Amino acid sequence: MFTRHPTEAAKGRLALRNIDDHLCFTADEVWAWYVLPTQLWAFRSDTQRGQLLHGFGDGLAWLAGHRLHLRVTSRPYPTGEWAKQLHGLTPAPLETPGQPPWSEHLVEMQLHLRHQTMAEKEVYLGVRIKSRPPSHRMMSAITRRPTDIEHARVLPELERITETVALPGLEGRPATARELEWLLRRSIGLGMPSPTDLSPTPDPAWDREDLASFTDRVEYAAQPLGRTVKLTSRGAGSAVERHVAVLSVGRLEEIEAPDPAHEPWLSHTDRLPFPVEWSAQFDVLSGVDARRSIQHKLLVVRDMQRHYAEHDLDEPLALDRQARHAREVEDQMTRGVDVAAARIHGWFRVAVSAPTEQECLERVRKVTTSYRSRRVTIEHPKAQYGLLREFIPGEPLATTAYRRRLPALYLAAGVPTASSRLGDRRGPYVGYTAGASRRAVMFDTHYATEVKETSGLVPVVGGLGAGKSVLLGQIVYEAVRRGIPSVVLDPSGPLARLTELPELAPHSEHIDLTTAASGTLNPFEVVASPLRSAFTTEDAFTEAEVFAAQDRKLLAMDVVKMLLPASVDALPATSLVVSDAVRTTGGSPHSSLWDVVKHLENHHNPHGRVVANYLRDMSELPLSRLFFPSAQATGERLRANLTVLTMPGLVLPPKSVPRDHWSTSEQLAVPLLHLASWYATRAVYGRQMQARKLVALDETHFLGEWSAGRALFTRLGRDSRKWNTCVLAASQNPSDVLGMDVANFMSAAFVGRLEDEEAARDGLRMLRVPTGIGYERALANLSSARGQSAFREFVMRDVDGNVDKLRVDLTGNPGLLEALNTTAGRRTANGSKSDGEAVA
Amino acid sequence: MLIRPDDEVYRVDAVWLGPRGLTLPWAARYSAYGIWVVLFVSILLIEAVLPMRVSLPPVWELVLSILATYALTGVIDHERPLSSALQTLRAELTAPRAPTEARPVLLDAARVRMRENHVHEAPHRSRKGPTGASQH
Repeated sequence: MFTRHPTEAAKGRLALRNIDDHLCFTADEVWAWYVLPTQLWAFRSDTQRGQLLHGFGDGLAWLAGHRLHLRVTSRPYPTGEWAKQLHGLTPAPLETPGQPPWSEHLVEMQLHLRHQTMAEKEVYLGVRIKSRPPSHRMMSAITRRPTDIEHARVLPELERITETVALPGLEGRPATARELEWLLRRSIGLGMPSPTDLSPTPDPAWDREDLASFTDRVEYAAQPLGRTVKLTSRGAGSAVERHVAVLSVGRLEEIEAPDPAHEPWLSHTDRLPFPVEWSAQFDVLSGVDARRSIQHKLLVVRDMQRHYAEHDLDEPLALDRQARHAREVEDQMTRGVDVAAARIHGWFRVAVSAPTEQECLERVRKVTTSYRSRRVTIEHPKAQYGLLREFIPGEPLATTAYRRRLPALYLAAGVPTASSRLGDRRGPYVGYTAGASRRAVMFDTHYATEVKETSGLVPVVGGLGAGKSVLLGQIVYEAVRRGIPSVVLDPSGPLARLTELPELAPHSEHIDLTTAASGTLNPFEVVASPLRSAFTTEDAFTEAEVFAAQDRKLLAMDVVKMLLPASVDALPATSLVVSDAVRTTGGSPHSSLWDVVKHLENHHNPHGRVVANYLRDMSELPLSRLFFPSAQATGERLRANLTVLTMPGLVLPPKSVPRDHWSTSEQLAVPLLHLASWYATRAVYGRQMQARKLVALDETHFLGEWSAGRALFTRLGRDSRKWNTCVLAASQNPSDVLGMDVANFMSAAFVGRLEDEEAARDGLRMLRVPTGIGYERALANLSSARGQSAFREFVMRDVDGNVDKLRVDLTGNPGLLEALNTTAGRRTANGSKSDGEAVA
Repeated sequence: MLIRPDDEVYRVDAVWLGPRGLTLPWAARYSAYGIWVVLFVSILLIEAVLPMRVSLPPVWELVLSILATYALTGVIDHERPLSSALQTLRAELTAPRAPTEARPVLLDAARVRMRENHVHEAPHRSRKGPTGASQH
């Protein structure tokens, strides 16, 4: 900047003169600014990534001859708007006397979100259109703003550039005056708290006098040869102080693009726990210009080689390498297409800021070391104030040091626009993305059914210790607080702690199924009878009744077969006699397994008698009374806002042990789980059709092996939209869920750590992510850091089809964290947190 | 797809080994010779402006300019060309500095003169008496 306006720069004036909509006029240049949308990057196929790179590179190549200014900044998550929307979507929140109300909870969540530095990435691209001729400058000096003639002269070029920037690779659109105001305020007060008081006037033109309002508030102070610049903002409140350091990208290595192992090099900083700003100014050289400059260098190399030969000296090996490289580049430029030939010569700066100088330098160190692993050198030059000003739109370069000469594709491979978009942005907060960037993820349990009109079935898959219970607990807790009636089937029982939370306790019910009334899980009764009011026509109602009767028969048949030893079940005659006996009951809701036993005994079939005897033996086991009613079962419960069904002492058979070797209790566990799952879904049909409902089922991987379980899933998938229900189904094995033919019914999906390669592949299939290109490893590494403060990580596919890594965040709600983090019987001495290992 | 930056090509060390047939004991970049000439001439010019005597041969001037060249070529390289060194110097000189002392601004009222009434200043009107003054 000092080369052009040494006097003005010394006074600290901006180079900008006017902003007309998206056009910025400096003293002698005209720039047009565009907003580039962020692009999804995580978990996409190489082809999609490749297309994105080439599109971006192509866009740059089309802008050959212009100087570009790329600015990456951030905007805080609009927590206020989010909370307002969520409040609007929560007409009847749960209110507990003596406990903080829902509105208080919302405020807490907002505060938590605000302290998480979760910002939305924003990418701006400035294109220098042309220099302003002296005549235009003179005219605008008289009229105090660019004249119409000047606008008209710029227009054709501007239109061409706008069209180019809007091409598929960049997809940019002109920035509005308001966005430019934001960018200016962010650039001038680099690292300052985000501006809240944007101009209230809608006038898109900013004059030189108006621009003072941007600069007046921020004071700069640099130490001689200092490493940072101190910024002090004197806004309406107290003075805010920030120290900012600007770094420059030094030497770069060759890269593989797209590289599944790494984030793109320009988006690498998104992973850092503090916000980082980018400013890159670069000239795009067309193939011809680039070739001329490389040919010139080749001549120098050749000359040097000759010079060494003249002196009979061995030339440095570097010369030969450079000559070869130059020839390769030249060849690429001559024979390659535009996108391969286009080159950029530019300067890439990174700015970090912190409240104290020491912290700022610490952040500098973090940026440098994190890039060292990528084999990118980050320099921390002197003259920080000059570099800092480069971030402001319209400011010229402060120094020509650290110029990078790169193929346009190299810049494109940095994918500055890569970001993650995950979640519906309207539901309660569940966590943040842990892949490329840290963005808040909201998950509304009824977004799928109410807005997208799809099924509400959400599988949650993960191996032992993947954090399934924590995620289920988090989602259910928020749903209950929103007043959505929820039923949770959690056989192992840690989620029962939810019912003890003071804010939920008065509205919750914990049902221990093992001590429930005899006949609670009667297979004929657990399948709910359809409500007449839910169907418009008589035919539909009759059809639903037939379906229910079929489900009952199917369930009874499966339960009987599950109770039999594997050897008896394997006999062909068994199926025949059992199905005969079950058919005789007619699938009536008033039947019971005793009716089946009686029919078996009355059939005069010796095999039927054998089966009946087995069943009578099984009915003597303590837990069997649940499905062999001794008296009339009590009426339906599940009326509380939160019902947690548990079955303590239930021993589920290990996956690896074949059925022949199961113990009696293990053998009994499977039908119990089936019936309990069916029982839990009664909550859906017992309430009004349009009212929101939530059902969370754990250990659903046992359901996929039997037709009754698959029928349950198909039914849930089919009915969840109509009945406005969100069904969370946790399972250890993705293939079981996939095997249930519900792939079409899944709206969102959560996949946790899966170490087995085969299971990981199924998990990816469930997420609809391409397999076989390295993403399996990503699933194996999720939640790898276990322990007290460990995060639970999942790969989530949201209802809109975006996929990224999600880190479940419970730190905003310590009470819930403690409830979910602690396993019964394993409390530590201080009575608070223990490790979350047993919470699977 | 492997993408290489082009920086390597631009990192050519254009050195001058000496005239043909004579290899100098050092190998300096062409730019170093340029810098040396400029420095040498400017030292001579400074000496010419200031009334200083230049001995022949100008040994001190030679040594000084060689040392200065050596120092300058130490801070410039392919990443930081000579122009950037000058830009850095300029930026450092013109950067805004924090005020060295935080002196509060006090409005000084020492030059404001006060008097109880203007009657004493004008003795020739004193015959109007104190009643006239009190009317003000």
